[in-house]
Amino acid sequence: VKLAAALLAATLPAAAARADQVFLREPDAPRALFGDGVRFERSTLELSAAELDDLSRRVGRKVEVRQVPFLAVSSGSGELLGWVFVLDVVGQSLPITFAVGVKVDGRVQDVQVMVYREPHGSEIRERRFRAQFAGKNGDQPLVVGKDIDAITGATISSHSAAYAVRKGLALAEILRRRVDRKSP
Amino acid sequence: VTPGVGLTLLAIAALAPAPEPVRAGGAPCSEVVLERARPMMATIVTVTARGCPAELLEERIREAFAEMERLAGLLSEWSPESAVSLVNRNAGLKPVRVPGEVLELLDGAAQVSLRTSGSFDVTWAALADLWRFGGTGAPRLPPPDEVKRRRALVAFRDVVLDPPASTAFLRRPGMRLGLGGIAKGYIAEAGATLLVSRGVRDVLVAASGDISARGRNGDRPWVVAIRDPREPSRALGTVELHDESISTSGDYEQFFVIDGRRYHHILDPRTGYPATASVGVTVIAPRGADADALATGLFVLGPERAATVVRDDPDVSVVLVGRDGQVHVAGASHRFQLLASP
Repeated sequence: VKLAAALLAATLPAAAARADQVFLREPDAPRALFGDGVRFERSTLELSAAELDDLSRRVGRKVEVRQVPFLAVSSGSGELLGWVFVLDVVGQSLPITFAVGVKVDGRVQDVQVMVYREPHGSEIRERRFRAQFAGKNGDQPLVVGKDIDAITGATISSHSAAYAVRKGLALAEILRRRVDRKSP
Repeated sequence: VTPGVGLTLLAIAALAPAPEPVRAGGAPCSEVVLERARPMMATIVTVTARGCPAELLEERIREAFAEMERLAGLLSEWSPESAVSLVNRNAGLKPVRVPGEVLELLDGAAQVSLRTSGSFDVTWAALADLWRFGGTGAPRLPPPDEVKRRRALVAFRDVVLDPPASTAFLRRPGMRLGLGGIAKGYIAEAGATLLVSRGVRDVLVAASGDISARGRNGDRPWVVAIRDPREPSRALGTVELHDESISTSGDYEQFFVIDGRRYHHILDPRTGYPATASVGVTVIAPRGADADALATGLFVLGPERAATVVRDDPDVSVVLVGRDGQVHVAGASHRFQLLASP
């Protein structure tokens, strides 16, 4: 178990350099995707060379990492409900970390963003950023020292979610095939 | 509070159509702030909500995402089965029955089109496939003749809505609806409204730059920073939101460059080419769809004409950065806490 956890830690994106926006932490992902009352177990999928080729073909990009951490999600009574894959996808700008949930029947359960990295520098949420206001508008205490809840700007396009879903589905397919092989 | 009481309240809240508020009377719990994000409408949608208990709040946020996904499904012009796609496929042929939300949105769009002299126009999409932004193919400029031909199909007055029959119709073949300039604002507000209707009073929903606020963030209002379109890693200023929406149109996220010239994704419906008068516009309005559509329309109009459009409207506030980098404010402009222009 410790080894699996260590592998997971090594493979997960260096989550949250301080300024990243973290929406969902890994231990909360199964519940957020599959609902309350679920249990989960961390595990690592070791891909064979053939499986790696198959995966690369299905997602349309060369995949080189052979060890894929995942969370197996089950109901309170122990029935396997599906899997959560934590996938770091590089899009047009900075990588976004998605949690992709796939049901045991191979269909998508849900997709959520775990870590989002601001493409324009995260200073907008930082103390340093707020100092701009202090320096220039020192006589306006209304603004100084306040937190900012969101940023409005031109729409940032993210097409990487589709890739995350494709990859999650392909990984689940590999897991499903292995389960099939084991059953009588 | 005994565990039994807490459980009963949870059960009631989960079953009733309009359940007791999160932070329901009689069951004190300590307030939490949850922030959740999902990919939707080709961008990232974020919900921030305050309340308790955490499990119930989490469930309410899931419901809000489900509602927003439902609406995005109706309004997408890319999904072939959406209501909007059905209207597009029947352009010039016949009226199509559409859900009430689609009629409501198209009616709101027509109001903004009238107000901005057609600078915001949902039928702009007749031009859409001539311009490829953010795609994988090599950028190219569309043939001028083709732009001219398609431009003739951009005509919001030829969108025929029949509320009693609940139908929408594009009068001429080749016309096409594209709701990218209004749907995100509409959907962000719908997400916030759903949460409020289910007892979550304090909510901020952000579909990338289209943001809708309800209630407060603890002991202060929700505060939104406006990205500086001239230097997107910095802010132009901040604004407090009080049960209203804010949207921004900018030319710095989706564009391509040919021969040193930048072509961005906000087209002027009247020319068929990218609008050139502004680099960024932010609008606050009571309704999310209005904020979103006005941001697009005023971006196209540019500073002088934009100021005329909102001059006597106490409900709308605008910050506009012109092509020359000058910052203009209009409408209820005192609300913006702007930084000094660099």
